[in-house]
Amino acid sequence: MTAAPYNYSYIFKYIIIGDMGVGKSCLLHQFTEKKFLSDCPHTIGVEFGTRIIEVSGQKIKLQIWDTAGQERFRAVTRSYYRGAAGALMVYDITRRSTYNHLSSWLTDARNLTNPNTVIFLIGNKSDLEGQRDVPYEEAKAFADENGLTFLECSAKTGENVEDSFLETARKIYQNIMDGSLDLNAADTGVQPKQTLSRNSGQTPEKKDCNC
Amino acid sequence: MSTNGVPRVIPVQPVQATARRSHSFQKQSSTEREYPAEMRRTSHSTAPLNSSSVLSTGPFKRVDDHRRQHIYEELPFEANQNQNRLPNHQESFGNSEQSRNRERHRQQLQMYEDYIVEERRRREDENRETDILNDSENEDEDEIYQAPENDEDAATSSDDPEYEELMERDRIVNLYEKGPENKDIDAWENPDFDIYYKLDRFGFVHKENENLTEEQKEHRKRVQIELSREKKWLRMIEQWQSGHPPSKLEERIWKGIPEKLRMMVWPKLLGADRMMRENQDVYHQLLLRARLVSKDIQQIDLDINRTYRDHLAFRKRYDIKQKSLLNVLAAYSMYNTEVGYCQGMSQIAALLLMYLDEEESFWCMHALMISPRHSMHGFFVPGFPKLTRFETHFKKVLKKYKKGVYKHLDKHDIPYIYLTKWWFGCFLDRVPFSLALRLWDVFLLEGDSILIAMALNIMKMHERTIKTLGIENFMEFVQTTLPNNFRYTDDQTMHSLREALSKMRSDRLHKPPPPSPDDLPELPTKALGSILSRPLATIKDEISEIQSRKSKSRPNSAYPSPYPTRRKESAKLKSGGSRPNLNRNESPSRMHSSQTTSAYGSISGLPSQVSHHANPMSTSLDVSTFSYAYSPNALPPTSTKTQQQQQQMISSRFSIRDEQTGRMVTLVRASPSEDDSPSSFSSETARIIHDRDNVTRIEL
Repeated sequence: MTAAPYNYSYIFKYIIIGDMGVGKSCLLHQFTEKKFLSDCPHTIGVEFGTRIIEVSGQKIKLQIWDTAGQERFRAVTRSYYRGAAGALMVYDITRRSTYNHLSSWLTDARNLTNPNTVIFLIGNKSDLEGQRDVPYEEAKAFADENGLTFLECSAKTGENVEDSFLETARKIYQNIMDGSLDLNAADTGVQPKQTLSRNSGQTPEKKDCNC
Repeated sequence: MSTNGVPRVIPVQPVQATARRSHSFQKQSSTEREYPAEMRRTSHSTAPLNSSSVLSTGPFKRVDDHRRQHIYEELPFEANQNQNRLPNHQESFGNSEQSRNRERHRQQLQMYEDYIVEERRRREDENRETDILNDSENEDEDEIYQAPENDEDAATSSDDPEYEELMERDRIVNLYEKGPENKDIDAWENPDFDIYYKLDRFGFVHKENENLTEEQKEHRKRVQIELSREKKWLRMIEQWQSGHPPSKLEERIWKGIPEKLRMMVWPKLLGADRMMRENQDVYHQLLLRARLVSKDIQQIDLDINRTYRDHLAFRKRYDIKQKSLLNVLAAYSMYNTEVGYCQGMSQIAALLLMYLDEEESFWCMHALMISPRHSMHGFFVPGFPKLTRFETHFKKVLKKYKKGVYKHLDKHDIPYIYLTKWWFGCFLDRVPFSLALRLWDVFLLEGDSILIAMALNIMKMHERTIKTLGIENFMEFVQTTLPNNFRYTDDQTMHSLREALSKMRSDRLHKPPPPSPDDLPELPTKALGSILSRPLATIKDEISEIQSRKSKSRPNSAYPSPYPTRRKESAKLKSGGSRPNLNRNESPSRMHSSQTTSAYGSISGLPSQVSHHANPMSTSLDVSTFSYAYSPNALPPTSTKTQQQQQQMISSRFSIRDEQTGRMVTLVRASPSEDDSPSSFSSETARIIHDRDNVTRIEL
């Protein structure tokens, strides 16, 4: 990651949210390292990952903040919602409770991000079809109702993981292109490379961060 | 991994056994005992199994008294001596070296035999207890013999066998007293245990320092130094156990507690050993309850599945150490309910379990939470008040001592989020494990000022690197680089840390200002272990009630996963007020009122289906009869109390056949109502409970 050439046009900031143990960190690891980390430790606080992708011929750097899922960590992770261009909201298709909590995660995501933030719903662990607890159609209906893009993924096999991150980036890029996302506004989670400056708010406000 | 169990039991057992059986060896001659080891070994392998073969030759007499059955245990030894009489002369042919070895070998075998005898005796005793009822049957099966009590019967070949025996015993005991420093140990007796030998994939052991990197050589050297410190440590611990902490303790802990002794030193530093002594049985009682009612078990389970899975002890799912981890965390979640379970605690518990047993780990965990020096409660309790306070202070300290780094982080908008992981586990997983252990050594000694000092120390030691890093590379540096390679040796790091700490201390900055009264409390405000005041029987009743609800609601459930159902149940349990601890203000006199009502009489007036439709919520408070009034200082109910309660319950039961299902229904009187007449039963106050063993109970 360190040696990556800095020839990208934008930086997009993502957050990954969702219940404990749904596989947020594994999704991130699969996306950045293309590997499944079977003994991935649980996240305490917030962790960070990055990767450069290409959308419509433009190189885009994704800065991804992976949050702890336990309820009491929300106080800490909430400050990372601000200024996120994309939010990946993850549940586990084998545990209905993680699906049932989506409305609460969605409320947070809606309230704490800006209106242009692309929220992407991910049903993880699609490789565990035999233990499925949430039907695809049901989650799809939920996503449609709330205007979310939805994919079922497997951090283990890598299925659809790439697509989820890329699709989110495409949507953000689209918003930039059609002008619905104003690059000059605050906390959009998007930074054009030329305006990269130290006070451009690419990270959560450090003074509010009680990490 | 009963690391503490092994050394305690094994050396002691043979010595005790030797002492105990000495009386029966009185008649043994010295020559008899000096037969060659090989012979002894062969005979040993058969004799204990085939005792009947020596019955006719041995100098024994039969006793009928069952109480003397244990003497039977002496048989194998006497048998051995008889069988080994013949080759005795071989002994004199061996050269002295050989005979010394044989002698030693023989001693070892003897100890082993003693151990076996002890073990057999124990088992026999157990069997006797169970067989005591059918004595007559045993008579035919068990041949009971006794060694002669009369000296003249057997003492023939020794001048004073008793003396010989005593000398021999003393010699062995002395060897153990002298310990490993003993000069009289042959090289072969201490196999050159070098666990750092490298086994290649073909199975060859590479003994020499072939192809060692500089780093490996350095590591070897450090291990050697550590091993050489163990003796000093053992002496010091002995001194510590008999009084105040020795003066050298602090100095030596900073140099690193020897790996083998962490299991002794850590609990002592935390005062957990004392807590454990003062709270006997608390852990056990908590565990019994936690396994039934802890609401955090699901979260704990999720995290056990990803806690140190790359460590041998936690690698195998549901293996013994994973089970211990569940136990410790679940029990703690019931003990300190304000903290419950917080992510980050599983690493700490796992670390403790690498060195300690479950109960010790539990009390160490608790000491870490509430001791004034560590008070990790403030980190893990919802709201994380201590994290906020410490972070503020850290920024201040960083600004003062490392202004350059502070400015750099500020300039690049690097958030202080990494402190969470650094502090919640005292740098576990964020520095190499060997260094994390050293940090834990001093963390337990010095307390939480280590957390700020080490955070500052990292910034100090890596100042140059950090100043070149933007947010992405900084995060990678903290998350990936430092845990893999800290770039300084553990000793260098500890030295630098100590300097940082003493600098902060001299400036009175090693501790943040105390929490303000407006902040969330950083120590428990609720009584610890209040669950202990609830009898297990009550809890079990509730569980079976929940089970009965589940069996009713199951047909409606479209998704048969256990997870959501379980969660719903616990929610019901909470909202439905069915937990008797909601009735803490219940008059204590009520709970002891023993209602030994006989059968309630006819309940024909109660339609069987009524109970099925009864709303469990409406009557659930009745269970309070069997709950204890809550008091923070109340001792947990003793088992006898619980038995009384159960007795009380049994006394007000009445069984009928449930006509609807054809099953037996036990009516349990749950509250002592003033009106005992059957007519007072109403459908509103009845609830039905289905037990696992197919017994249904209706509580009235």
